[in-house]
Amino acid sequence: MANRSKIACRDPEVIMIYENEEDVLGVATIIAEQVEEYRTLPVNSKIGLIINKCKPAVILLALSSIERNIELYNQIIENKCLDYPHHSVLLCNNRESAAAFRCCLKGLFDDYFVYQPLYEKLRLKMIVHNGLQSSQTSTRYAGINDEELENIGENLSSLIDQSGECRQSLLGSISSCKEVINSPDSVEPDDVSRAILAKINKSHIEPMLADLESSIRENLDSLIGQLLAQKNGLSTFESRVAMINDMSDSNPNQRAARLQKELAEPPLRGRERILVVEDNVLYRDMLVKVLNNENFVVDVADDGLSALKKIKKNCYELILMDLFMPQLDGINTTKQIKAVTGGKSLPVIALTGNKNKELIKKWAEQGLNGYLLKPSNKTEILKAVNKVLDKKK
Amino acid sequence: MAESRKVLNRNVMIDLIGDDRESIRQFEIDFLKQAKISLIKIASLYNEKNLAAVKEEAHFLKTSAKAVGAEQAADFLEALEHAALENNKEKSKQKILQIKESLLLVHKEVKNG
Repeated sequence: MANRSKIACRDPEVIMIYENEEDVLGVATIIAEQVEEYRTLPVNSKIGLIINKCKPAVILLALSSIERNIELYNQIIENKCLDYPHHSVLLCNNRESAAAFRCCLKGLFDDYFVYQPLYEKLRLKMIVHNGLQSSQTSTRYAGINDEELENIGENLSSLIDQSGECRQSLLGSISSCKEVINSPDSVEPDDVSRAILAKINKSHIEPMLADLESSIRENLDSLIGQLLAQKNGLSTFESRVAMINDMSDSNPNQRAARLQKELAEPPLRGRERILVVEDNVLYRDMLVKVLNNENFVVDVADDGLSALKKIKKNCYELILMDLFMPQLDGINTTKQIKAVTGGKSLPVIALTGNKNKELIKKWAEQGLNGYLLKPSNKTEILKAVNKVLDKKK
Repeated sequence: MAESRKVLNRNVMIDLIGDDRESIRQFEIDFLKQAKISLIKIASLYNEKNLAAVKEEAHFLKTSAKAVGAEQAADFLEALEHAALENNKEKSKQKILQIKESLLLVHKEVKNG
């Protein structure tokens, strides 16, 4: 048969290694239709030497199981018989496809193909085609001619051709641009170019760098603050953000020294930072007013997700949290707090309109330290807040 | 009974934020603004027959109503919550109308200082 001669090629671009010849007959025929330089090889002790000698661009492994394929491939690699760029394809049966997928995901093989049962003939050709195209050693592969493709209609063929050309042209153009940009010999900018570059620099680059610098400085301040607080054994450093914002020292050493001095002093009662998490702005503002009047430093969040972001960035002594909110409710937010504080527990007082004590008790087991019925009066709010803060101290 | 409760009990706000007339007035105005938006939403949700969402919105507004001392409106809102939970459309409609009337009375009281 015509295909037989191709399968026995001496210097192949593509090889397929197998255990049972009958298993791979269908696959072998398909590849032989596509590639002139192709060879099938039964697995044996000299397989590595053969590969190393002819250096095929594409290697298909079609042993009886995935384990056998992996073992053989590893062995060939360990014996340094595959120390050149190549495209490895794992052939497997349908039941093994998940494992084969994992192998490719982990980078062991470049691709896989389910050949038992053999359904997607063209998919196999595509894999081999891509392997040959991408392999640096492939020089003799001529690609697939239109005549070899099944007729799919004139219009669709034309659309595919045009789109393909367009994409290649675009990629080529991008590539050319990159080359010009990266080339050390690129044309010297003239006056106009210099002027444009200067303008871009002033309007975009400099503000961006300034923002970046400011952002880094803020993050560093925050980090220094947290480290100093931990070092000093403080459970809080009230008004930290406000304090950092107030600092006008541009010298980082001065800022750090000032931070250290401020944080070395224990926080005064009534200056603890409290986060109020409540989606009802009106009620939230009322709570803020009550707490501000007592000199607490109050921060606010609309919902659980925003609260977690603030908790991650700042240090609070206490959270007042509505239980029913959009995005993430109070119970689930409370459960997540430890995760964002690195395991540090933070007292949470629930705000609820529900008067069912059994239900509230059940919620309390989820990590709540107390609850306030909405709306409570000033005395009740401050009593609950002070009780939790006193306990913490 | 809802009817026996005050349209606007100013002692509630005094108990909450102290006797700060200016702030109390501002909160009352803010409440009326919020209530207007919320009531339109409730009516719209009712027309869409989404009583579960009506209940949620009523609960939301009830918190504000209680906080500013709009006791009658708060009671109607709680009644609306129950009616919506029971999927009782007729009762829900009746409560929405009562809430509207009660809020108009709150508006009148705020206007008159």
